[in-house]
Amino acid sequence: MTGFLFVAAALYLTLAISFVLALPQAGDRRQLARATMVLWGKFLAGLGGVAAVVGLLDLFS
Amino acid sequence: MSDPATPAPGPVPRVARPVALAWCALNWIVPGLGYFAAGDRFRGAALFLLINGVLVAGYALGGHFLPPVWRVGAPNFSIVSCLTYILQLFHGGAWALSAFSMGIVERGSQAAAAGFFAGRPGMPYADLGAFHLLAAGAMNYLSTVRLYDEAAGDPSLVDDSAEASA
Repeated sequence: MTGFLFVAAALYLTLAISFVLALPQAGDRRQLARATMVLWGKFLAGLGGVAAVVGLLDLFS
Repeated sequence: MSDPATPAPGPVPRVARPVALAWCALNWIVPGLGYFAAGDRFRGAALFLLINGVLVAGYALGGHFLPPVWRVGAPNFSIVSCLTYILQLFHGGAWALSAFSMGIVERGSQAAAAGFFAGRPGMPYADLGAFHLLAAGAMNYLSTVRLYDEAAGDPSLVDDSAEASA
């Protein structure tokens, strides 16, 4: 349960940070939604990359 | 792709400085409420859900507002704790709720809600929870400063014509 909460909180936190970082750049709703999703995608790709490296290190150590 | 030639006008109107400061005060206490009062309901609702969601996730992980030792010479002084607390303060409503809850828990209250908002430092992810409270405060600072710039500050800092996905 705590592990699920941990992952959900991390996903939510990155979504919220993406939205706030996109705020000053976007004028209308569509721009804002698009900029938020682009930033969130970058966040998740970064997190996925880190998780993959950690997983591989764990696998081969 | 956005069209830089026809920037969408920001829904927040330009107003006198005291009005803008009042909106910022509202936004400081409850994230999103300042935008709602200014007429930008979409941003207000989104900020309310996202920032307060992070806050609730932080509380669920056991996060807490820990008043730091401010005396520089004290043996347990930590600049990181001081800066964390200052950033957490930018979510004014949560800080007041936590301070109130910590007070009634110290006086012996067993209420579940009081325990939830006072924080549970013994939980395994309590430090991560406190970090969520910090992130909620920091994001609310950014959203409040943006609201001021849009309503009464330097409007060029809120550039609606910028490419959103640059």
